[in-house]
Amino acid sequence: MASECTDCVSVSDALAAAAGSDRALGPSELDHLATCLRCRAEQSRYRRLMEAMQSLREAPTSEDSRLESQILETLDVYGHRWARITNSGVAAAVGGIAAGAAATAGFIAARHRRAARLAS
Amino acid sequence: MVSLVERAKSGDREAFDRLVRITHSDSYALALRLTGSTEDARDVVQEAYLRAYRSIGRFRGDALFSTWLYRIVANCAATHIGRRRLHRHDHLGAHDDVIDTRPDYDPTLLGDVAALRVNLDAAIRDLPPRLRSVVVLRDMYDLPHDAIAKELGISVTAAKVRLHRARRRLREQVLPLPGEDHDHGQ
Repeated sequence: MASECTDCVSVSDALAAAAGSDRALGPSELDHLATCLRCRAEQSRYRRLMEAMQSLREAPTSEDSRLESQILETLDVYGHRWARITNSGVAAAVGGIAAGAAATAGFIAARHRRAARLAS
Repeated sequence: MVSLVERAKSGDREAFDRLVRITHSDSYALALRLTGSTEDARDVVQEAYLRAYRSIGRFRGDALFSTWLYRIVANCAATHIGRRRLHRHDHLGAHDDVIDTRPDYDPTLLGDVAALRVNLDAAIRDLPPRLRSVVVLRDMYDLPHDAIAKELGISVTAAKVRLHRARRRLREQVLPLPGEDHDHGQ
């Protein structure tokens, strides 16, 4: 296999960009690929990498069985105030923003308290 | 899914709960990929659904609901990682040493798709968060560059630079060319 040359370095950058079809390879890069085994091998590896990335997304992730109920509880505790206010109309918009910020702040504060408890 | 989204937009909490049930596994998988921690992923997902619930009235439907949700998860994860870095003083620079978790070089294993996936999974976790975020969002979840840049609070050019750097690192680590075996991640 040929050793890395200046053209290889330049084409290598283009291959990383072209791997996900972010851009097409130019004529000079294609010319180089036609004659350089090293860069063709690198291009082939990028193709395999992209395929593996997609297959990884489809692979099942081990999930915490309590997550769904935790999300719904969070919505119960911090979401209902927002929903009630937004349903009451434009007059309460300013209050709604404040309530939304307070709900988020409460959620973050609760999480920090939990983190502090875990850390101690 | 479309009718559930419409009902949720009109304030139907039951419809939103059903959307949570349908989508939370996928959202958690993305959060886990972005944060690299089950604890952080749980926090990110909870915060993301709270934000989604508050803003679903503004969801215009010009993108898939799942894509809209991915963007919220990405934004929450970026905020979470930033906050964690501030509080814990983690050193998360782009030039951190990458821990080599590959098994010994073995052409048979390298040719095996399952082994490649295992190695790739580990390599993604080893990436610095700022590189990991862009490559996961782009190459696994197909988010456009401008959406990634917006949710991560960076320019499109910076997002592309990080993406190409991340791809190169992953390629060098899991599918090295001869001669790259001992200097990957540089």
